[in-house]
Amino acid sequence: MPPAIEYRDVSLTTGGRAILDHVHLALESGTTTAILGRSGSGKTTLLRMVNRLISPTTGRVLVNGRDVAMGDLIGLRRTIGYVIQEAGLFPHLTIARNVMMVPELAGGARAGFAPRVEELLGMVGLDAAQFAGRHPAQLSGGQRQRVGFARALAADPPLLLMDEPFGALDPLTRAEMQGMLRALLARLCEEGRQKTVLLVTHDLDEALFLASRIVLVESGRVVADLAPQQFLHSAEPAVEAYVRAFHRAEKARA
Amino acid sequence: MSAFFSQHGTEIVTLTIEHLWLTGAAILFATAIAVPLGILLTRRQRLAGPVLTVANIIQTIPSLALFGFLLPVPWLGDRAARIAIVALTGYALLPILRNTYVGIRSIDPAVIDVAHALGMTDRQRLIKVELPLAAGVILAGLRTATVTCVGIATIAAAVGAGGLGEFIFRGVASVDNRLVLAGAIPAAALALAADTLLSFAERRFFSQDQLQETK
Repeated sequence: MPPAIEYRDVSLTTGGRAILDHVHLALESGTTTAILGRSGSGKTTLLRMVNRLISPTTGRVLVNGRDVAMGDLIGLRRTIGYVIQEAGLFPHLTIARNVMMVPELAGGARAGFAPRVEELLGMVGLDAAQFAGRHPAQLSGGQRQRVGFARALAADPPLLLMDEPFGALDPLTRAEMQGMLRALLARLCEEGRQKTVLLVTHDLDEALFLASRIVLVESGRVVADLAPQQFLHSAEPAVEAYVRAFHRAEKARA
Repeated sequence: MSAFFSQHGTEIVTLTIEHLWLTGAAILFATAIAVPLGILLTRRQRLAGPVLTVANIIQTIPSLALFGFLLPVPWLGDRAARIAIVALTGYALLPILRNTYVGIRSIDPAVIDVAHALGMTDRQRLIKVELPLAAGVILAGLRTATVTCVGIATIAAAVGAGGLGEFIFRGVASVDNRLVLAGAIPAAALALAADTLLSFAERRFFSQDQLQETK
């Protein structure tokens, strides 16, 4: 079985600046991988290449062994769930229509959507009777983010891209949402609907909590690709710096 | 006063209808041209500058001169109403074009990004996301265009196209203020009515976009 996502010698140069520099990476199907790095390290660019929102200058990106540059772009995107910071909900549409947008785009009959809306909102802990008819502006940030996850899952895509999904939330809501997401992914796995997740974050704690693998990106280069436990004990300077910053609070208390 | 009305009452009604027809036809044509063109400009960014400049230049031509320029044009010059409608269409283009372009361009980039990422085709993105979100701004442009056209349409009488300008020109020529007012007051009322009606529609759209209360 080919990897769910594979980067083969991927580089991106814009305006003479190298955003990504010869990236090789393969993500196994059904795993959750966190791409960790500072702002501007190229981690979001890596994520956006999977559904071809950005194309590499050289190299290839493969999804299930197929080059994303070949074939049907619209079809590719509809089979990849996408979650971003602040959810990016359509402000003029109800929560129900937001959640069911991908099935709607594929030509589904909106009249028959109600049971699926209820199921999806239930999966992310929202009561459909209360929320389905509302508009995004009437929800809290955490609730909107939940809707964002429900929307990404609507067409039951095998692949989920999450670009700092909790970035805009307060720490308490964030922790709550991370717990919700972990339980949700575990449940889908039990039901045999295992997801391959690519999570971009700058938060090591989040990466450790959600991912089975952590990829550290710096200046467009992959500098570490480790399991969480190995990551915490790596001697690689860039990784050490990250782990040190993470443990700073504990040290200050000691 | 009542003598004035019994003498000119029917004419006021006729000319008001004529005025409405000239303006309405022009706004219809301008919308049919400017909205699709504005959408096209958001797809072909490089054209936006030059096209908006041309619309801007049309806007700056003094209206009396524009009516005059169009007089010798073949087919157009045959009927004064044609000249008036073409000229008014020209003036209505810019506000509608600019607001369509700006309205779509100023949508939150994150929303457009998601529209792409969810796999919307260009057409789906336009119909499901861009037009509904830009509708308030586009309607505001339509409102500006309508109010401008109602005003400029009074000049159409100078080339014999009729409308409420008839009264104004006749009143000025015969130094009769009552005639001037018989043209000016209905024209102002038309502009106000159009403004109120369209701003009402605009608010409806806007409240739909940024809805705060549950229905």
